Amino acid sequence: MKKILVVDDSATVRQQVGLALTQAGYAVVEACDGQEGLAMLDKGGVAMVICDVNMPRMSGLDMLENLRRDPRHAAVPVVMLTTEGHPGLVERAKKAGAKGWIVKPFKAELMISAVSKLVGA
Amino acid sequence: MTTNEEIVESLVSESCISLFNDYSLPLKRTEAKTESNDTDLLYCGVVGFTGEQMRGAILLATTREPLGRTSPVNDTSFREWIAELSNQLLGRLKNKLMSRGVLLHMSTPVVLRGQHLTPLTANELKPLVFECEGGVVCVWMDAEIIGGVDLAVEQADSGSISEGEGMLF
Repeated sequence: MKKILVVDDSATVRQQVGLALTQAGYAVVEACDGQEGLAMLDKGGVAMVICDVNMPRMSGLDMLENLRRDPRHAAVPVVMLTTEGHPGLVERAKKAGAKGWIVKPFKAELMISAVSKLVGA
Repeated sequence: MTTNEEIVESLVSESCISLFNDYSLPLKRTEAKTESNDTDLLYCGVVGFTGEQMRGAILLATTREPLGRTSPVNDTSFREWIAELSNQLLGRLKNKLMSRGVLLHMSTPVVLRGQHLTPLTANELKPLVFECEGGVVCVWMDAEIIGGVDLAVEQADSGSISEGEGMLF
């Protein structure tokens, strides 16, 4: 079962995303900010990351840029899940190596479709 | 001629109604005057913002029922959920303002809990009040609009991604 890391400072959002993913057959681990997200990645086994942008301690974009510099995790696909829709931010994420961008509130079928395309069922 | 303040009020109202609608709770704007001792507002999320054209804070306060009805998960923490709703409300407003040439940077939300919550602002600030099934939602928009910006001018498609939508690169 593919393991997806959900990174968001909102426990409700983590639960909501986790529920959608587990119902689609994925395993889920959580982190509350970018720093914790990197620590979870270091434990290994994560196939993909779904990550908020605005978080305390370390933002999603900072986490993404850190992740891409680490050869152990550089190939892990990351999709941003955020309230932000600004094309400048989207472009920054794309250049930093993100594979997608979803604006909250998310539609479960759209998210599952994105995950499936990036890591398979 | 519609003033910048009236436009902001309209955008805040639209954002709040559409946000709660996305979580299956219709809101109805009411002109009823809400005094702090008339409504038992229990939870309030506060998010600050800043930018070259506008800065301030938005406050979203609700009674208990709207939080329970809109939460997408069971056994939700009301603290967590009002923080996220406040975040999404400002995010929605931010995206609308973007099409009018205003760029905002958001802080992370702070949550207050109490009874009869009401902000004490430097200028008298009236809330936007919304009635819904089982409760009340109030929004205060404490914004300073920096001189020179004209929010009436809407730009062509800003290229932003809408709420609920997404893309793979």
